[in-house]
Amino acid sequence: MRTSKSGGEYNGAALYSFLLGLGHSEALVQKVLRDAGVDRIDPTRWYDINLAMDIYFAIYEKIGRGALIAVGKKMIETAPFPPGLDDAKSLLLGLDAAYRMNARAADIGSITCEFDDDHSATLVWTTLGPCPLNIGIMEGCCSRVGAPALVEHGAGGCMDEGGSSCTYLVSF
Amino acid sequence: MQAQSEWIERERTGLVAALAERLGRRSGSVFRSAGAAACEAIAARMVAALGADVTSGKDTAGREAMLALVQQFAGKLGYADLRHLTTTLRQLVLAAAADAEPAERQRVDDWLFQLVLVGSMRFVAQREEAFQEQAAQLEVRQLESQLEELKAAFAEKTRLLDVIRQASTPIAPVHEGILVVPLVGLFDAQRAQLLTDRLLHAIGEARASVVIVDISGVPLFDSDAAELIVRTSQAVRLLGAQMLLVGLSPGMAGTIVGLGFDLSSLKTLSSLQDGLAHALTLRKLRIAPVAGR
Repeated sequence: MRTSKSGGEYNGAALYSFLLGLGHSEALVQKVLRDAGVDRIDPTRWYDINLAMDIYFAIYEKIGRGALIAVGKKMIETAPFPPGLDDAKSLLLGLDAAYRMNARAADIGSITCEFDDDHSATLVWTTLGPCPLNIGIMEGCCSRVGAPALVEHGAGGCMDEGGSSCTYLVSF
Repeated sequence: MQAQSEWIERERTGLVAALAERLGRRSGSVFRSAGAAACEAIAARMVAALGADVTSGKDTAGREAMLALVQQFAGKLGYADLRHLTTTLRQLVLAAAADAEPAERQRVDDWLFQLVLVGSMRFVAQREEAFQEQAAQLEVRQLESQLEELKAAFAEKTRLLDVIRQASTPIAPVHEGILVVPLVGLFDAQRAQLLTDRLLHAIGEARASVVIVDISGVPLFDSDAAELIVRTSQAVRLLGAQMLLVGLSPGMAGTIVGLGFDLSSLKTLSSLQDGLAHALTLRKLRIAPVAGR
């Protein structure tokens, strides 16, 4: 797991919506939160970013890759977004800004997005969260505007396996 | 036909170089990670296939080139890679054929369309194979997991049955040299073996000469059970002790007689009380009132 060394913070609202996305797994959420030393997540406050990542990775370990993708997708499909973000391209382009609204530290990484044409993009993530969650988030961005996407992990390494970044090839 | 495809020969070097460069440029693609030489080879193969098919009027070379590409990157080629290759090739080839006759351009466009179809079909087929393989592995893992759970449950059940058997075969020394074994529950071969083992050990330890086996708590005492008891009795006799069988109900006696089994080698008595009295007699003892009462 990657960590922030600069003592960053993570928005409780983002973490809360992720836990809501888990839906049926209330017992699992409670166990993971207990293990992390917190009783509940308050959506109005900020948490230590490494604690938030601990929670993401603990849940990833318990529910597996496919389920985590589904949670990430559901989380984005139901999240409130600013007006104007109404197509897949603008949502994908806005991911870096959205990430920075929810995570604040000097070493949180970034999300870059380049469009190859009107229906495909290459995104490079150097963020702290688990890789399948990123895939779910991108799938959710596209599906919430009615453009179901195929998100493929590009060659060149994966952060969950020690790589410095994850490249995703998105076709929508 | 030769004259029609002259533009391909003229543009070949430039097409190959441009396609190879653009294949290797896209980050995250399998082409980029395969390296510049691989991109050059793929580009050369595709352009050569185009030239061959335009000359022959068929799609054979294009199909073969696409199949070779999918096989080359078995399992690693993504849809985005395939899309990148075909759209880039189309852009470059149609630009290079800008001055060709309209019919020739149409022919090239049709060839590119076929290439997309073949590539997509192979890609989907390969994904399907991968999914089937993963599903099969998952099923095997689930079956192995179920088997492990069943093994664990069976081991636990066996352990519990053993505990129950041990608990339901108590051996009580009621007086010096006299042991009482009240049997409760089903009396089968496994339990008979357990009884024999424990009984022989207890006889040696207690220096017992009489063993009273009470079967009034055994619900079914048939010829099989009787045979097992007789064998136990023979083993007891080898240690110099005698076994008395008590608690045989009239129903059980009737069943054994009906089955034609001979219990004459065993001393049988109707109740534990009778058995105890007989055991004391054998030990040359008797129960007497305490003096002065």
